[in-house]
Amino acid sequence: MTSISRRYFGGLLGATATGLAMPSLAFGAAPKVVVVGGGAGGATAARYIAKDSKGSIDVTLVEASKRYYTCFFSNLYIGGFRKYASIGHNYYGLAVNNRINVVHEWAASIDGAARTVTLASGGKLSYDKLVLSPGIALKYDSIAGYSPQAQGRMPHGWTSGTQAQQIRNQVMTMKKGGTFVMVAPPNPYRCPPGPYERVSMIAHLLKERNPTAKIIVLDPKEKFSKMGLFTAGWEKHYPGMVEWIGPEAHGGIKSVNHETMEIVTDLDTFKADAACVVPAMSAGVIAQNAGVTDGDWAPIIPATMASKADPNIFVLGDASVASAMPKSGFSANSQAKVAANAIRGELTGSRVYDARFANTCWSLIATNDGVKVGANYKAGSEKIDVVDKFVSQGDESSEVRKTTYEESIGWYSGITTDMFS
Amino acid sequence: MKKNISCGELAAFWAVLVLSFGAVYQARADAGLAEQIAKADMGYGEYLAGECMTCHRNQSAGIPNINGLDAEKFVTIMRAYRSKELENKVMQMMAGRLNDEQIISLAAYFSSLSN
Ligand SMILES: Cc1cc2nc3c(=O)[nH]c(=O)nc-3n(C[C@H](O)[C@H](O)[C@H](O)COP(=O)(O)OP(=O)(O)OC[C@H]3O[C@@H](n4cnc5c(N)ncnc54)[C@H](O)[C@@H]3O)c2cc1C
Ligand code: HEC
Repeated sequence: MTSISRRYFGGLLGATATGLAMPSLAFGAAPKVVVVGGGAGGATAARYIAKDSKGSIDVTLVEASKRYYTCFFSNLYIGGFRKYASIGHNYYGLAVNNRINVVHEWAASIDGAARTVTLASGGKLSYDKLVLSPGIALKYDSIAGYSPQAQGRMPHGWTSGTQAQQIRNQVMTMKKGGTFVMVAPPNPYRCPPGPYERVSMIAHLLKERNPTAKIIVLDPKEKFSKMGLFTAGWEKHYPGMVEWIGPEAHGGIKSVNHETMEIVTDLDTFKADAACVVPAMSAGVIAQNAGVTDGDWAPIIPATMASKADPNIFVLGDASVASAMPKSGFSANSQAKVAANAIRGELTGSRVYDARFANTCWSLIATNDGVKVGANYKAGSEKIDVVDKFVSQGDESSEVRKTTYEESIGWYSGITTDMFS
Repeated sequence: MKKNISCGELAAFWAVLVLSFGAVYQARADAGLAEQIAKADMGYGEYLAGECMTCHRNQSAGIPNINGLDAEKFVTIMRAYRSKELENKVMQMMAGRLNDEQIISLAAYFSSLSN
């Protein structure tokens, strides 16, 4: 009933003033949403819009890969706590259970004025509302000598895919007593505790297989997320193995050379037997192409996640400027629900509730030693503001740490179901 | 009780809850609760539940399944997290920003789901 009367209403409007502004409504067809990027933000947004609109919105998801390997828990895979296959997910549930039109292609360009997405194959999709959740692009040139070529021997492992396998393999085959160098990224970047969880998981592997090996962390930042918890954890579980070197001590990371495996800083040159180099990041290329970025990232209106540059484009997840919210899968999933609610409201007149956001990032330091940091947020007029927050304490019992780790397993299963079922 | 909350840890948690005089007293005193639940805004509950679904799905480990949880019990538990009588940093934070109307809408929604 409701949808018929709304379509009729749309048709009337279409016949008069807003025919050009609401093209699909004018012909009585379901309004169209196109989502580019089927990761934490995009898959969630597509699913919630399709599920909650019960077929009254036509949803197309454009995702380049047929299988999404989560970056979250990729460190646990490196540490041997997860099988690689267990962090891979397909789009069957979205297509079959939620009747989303899943298109496995690369979105090549966006025309905001014509409201079309052009695919790499040349095909075109038109939209009433567009959701962009393309994740990050790596700024290879932020470190001299780093490049897509160099990432073969100095993997970043910071986007979904085989790089995590390469890192694990490097650690497993590193010579006895060798040195692993981790070059951490500058702010802002995807997953603030991620580099340090990775160091923990590499240390965990080495402790068993190669206990005289060393890990050197070269960091462009003076401090990092959960720093006290991580450094205490390294001391406790991997004494003498991990050396963290901040900018005051190395003077700046100057260049890397994947042939000699050298990392040059202002004060020293480090020779690595294996290395992980994570450069600076920006919003995924398609966000830049759509013209919604200002500098490296896309500013949004907090109440809806709509782009400040184009009211018909919503930007989620890592690509957006979400102020106080860290770039995490949890954040992207949370932002997707706010956007889905706003988009449904705009297209079908459904009730729009107040935006509310949350995030929790768990990290595993060693077997059964999990820590977490989290906050919830509200939409301010300019920024997303913190309402309340918490962080694991240094003096917690090992029982609490174990429960925290177990929670993270529950969360992984929860969020991936929330994205893909 | 549902299978997923029959494990030792959660049994202990229930014991704490039952012994927690404040929480039980509040649930009893709240005579109109059933009526408020019956009148709750399910649409609002469904929207608010989106925030919980990131963690609470039908999983077997780590985080309890709350689908189909008795609505009055749900309200009692959420109030106990809000007042920090129940431990758990995440849940204290999530419950901390919910008012009674929101908790009741959530209770109505989650109790309507099958587990
Ligand atoms: C090592 C590591 C550990 C992490 N751990 C956690 C954690 O424990 N908890 C947590 O919450 N977060 C974690 N994260 C962060 C999390 O992975 C990201 O923040 C999250 O994936 C962001 O979601 P998104 O939707 O913005 O991008 P993504 O999830 O990256 O999704 C983007 C998708 O868009 C597709 N795409 C991009 N451009 C196009 C195009 N033009 N056409 C078609 N498809 C396109 C990509 O193929 C990709 O699938 C971790 C990250 C890393 C690297
Ligand atoms: C970040 C993950 C996370 C989010 C988000 C979350 N919860 Fe929880 N929830 C947990 C964990 C972990 C527990 C177990 C806590 C404990 O042991 O006391 C829990 C326990 C509960 C319980 C007690 C279940 C039982 O059977 O004892 C209820 C009820 C509950 N949550 C409701 C909610 C509601 C409602 C929301 C959304 C407003 C929510 N939770 C959001 C992680 C989460």
